[in-house]
Amino acid sequence: MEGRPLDEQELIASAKNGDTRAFGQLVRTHQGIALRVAYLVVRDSSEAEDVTQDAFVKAYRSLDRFRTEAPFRPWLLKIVRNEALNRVRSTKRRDSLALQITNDPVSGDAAPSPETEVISEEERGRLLGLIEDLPDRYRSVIVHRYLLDLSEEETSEILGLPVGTVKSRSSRAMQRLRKSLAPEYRDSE
Amino acid sequence: MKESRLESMLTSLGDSIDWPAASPHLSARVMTRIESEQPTAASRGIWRRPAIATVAVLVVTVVLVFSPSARQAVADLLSAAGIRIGVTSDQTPTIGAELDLGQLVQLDEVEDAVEFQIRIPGGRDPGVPHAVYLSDGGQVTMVWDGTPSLPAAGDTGIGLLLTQSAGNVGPEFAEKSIGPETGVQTLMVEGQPAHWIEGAAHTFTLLDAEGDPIEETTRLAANVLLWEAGGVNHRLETTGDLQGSLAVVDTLEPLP
Repeated sequence: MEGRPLDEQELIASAKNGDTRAFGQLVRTHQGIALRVAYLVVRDSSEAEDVTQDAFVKAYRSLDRFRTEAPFRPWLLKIVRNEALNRVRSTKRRDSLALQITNDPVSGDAAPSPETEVISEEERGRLLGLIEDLPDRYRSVIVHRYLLDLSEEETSEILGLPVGTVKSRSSRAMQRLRKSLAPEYRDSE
Repeated sequence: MKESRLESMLTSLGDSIDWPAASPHLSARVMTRIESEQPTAASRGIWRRPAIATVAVLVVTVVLVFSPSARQAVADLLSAAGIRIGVTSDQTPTIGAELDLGQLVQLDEVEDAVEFQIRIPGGRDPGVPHAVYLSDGGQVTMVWDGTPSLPAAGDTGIGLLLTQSAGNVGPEFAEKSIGPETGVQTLMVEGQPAHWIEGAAHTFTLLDAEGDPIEETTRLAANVLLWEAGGVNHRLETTGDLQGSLAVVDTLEPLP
């Protein structure tokens, strides 16, 4: 944890009172993850940026309905995802993953956590392909929970699912992935 | 809790995705937009004139809604000016709109939104659905108006309602909320065990696509046929009898 929720609450309270600079700080803090959530749906970086921008403006307009003591990030990301889904629905496109592996493992604004597993490029590509083959309902949970590193509660709020459903879908998706992975990559548990 | 190897691999994978990076202008553009929306004394003054115009439009609208002769007069006036408008007295909401069935959609839209094969009745009766709804949970509901041969249920105006969703009736089907005034008959429909529930409104339990139980309540104070075919739960609600419902099932065919 970054030990900053109190600061964020103060920023939200100020933004609710019309302090646009406070809201600007919230935008800069969350724009990276917001852009990723949008990109997962629209699959185009330029459109994802437009969606993110619109979502932040909508979030600002809706701030008076946000409870200051509630977690801000999942509330914001739900607005981002809904905005992205509306774009996709209006163009009747399907939601598929279509993510690419980068040669630069610290692209974007998030650094890898030190505990994360070091896996080869071939393994990463294979795992990504397996995720892409999952049914939508499992894939969206796995992608938000692990690739975006969000908590079960955050994933629940963003996807509009009960936490229990996030847990059960995550568990079933993991079972499918384990079955598809070569034995050497499976857990011994 | 210790992370499994697969969880660790997935987290590591998230770090190596080629995510788009926010452009340096993103936050500045957001700021420009929200600052331009800040209310000022001047802008509040500007809104007064549109408000007066809105009141005028409302007055005209009320006159048009309540006066057919006024509607025709306006249509004639605009027609004389080279503008054609259609005058309609149909102000009724879409059938089923009050039942909280989800978002009103077109059949061809809904096909892309769900993972299962939607089937519709192929016969002339009841014909093409009069409205189609898609719920957040992925339930597709088709609605037909009541007819003399299939009277509407209560004051809903609906004669037939067919809901499809991924899942199955399963062993969890529960009659716990079904009172003595409701009859339940078990039968076979499309080769699967099915339930015909007749009588007062009731609650029952089905399984969704993940096998999780979901509690459902009848939408119409009518009869319900519940069955599963090909991993899809079907629920047909009607004021008609079992034979009529089975006749509809016989005509079901995949959406072309």
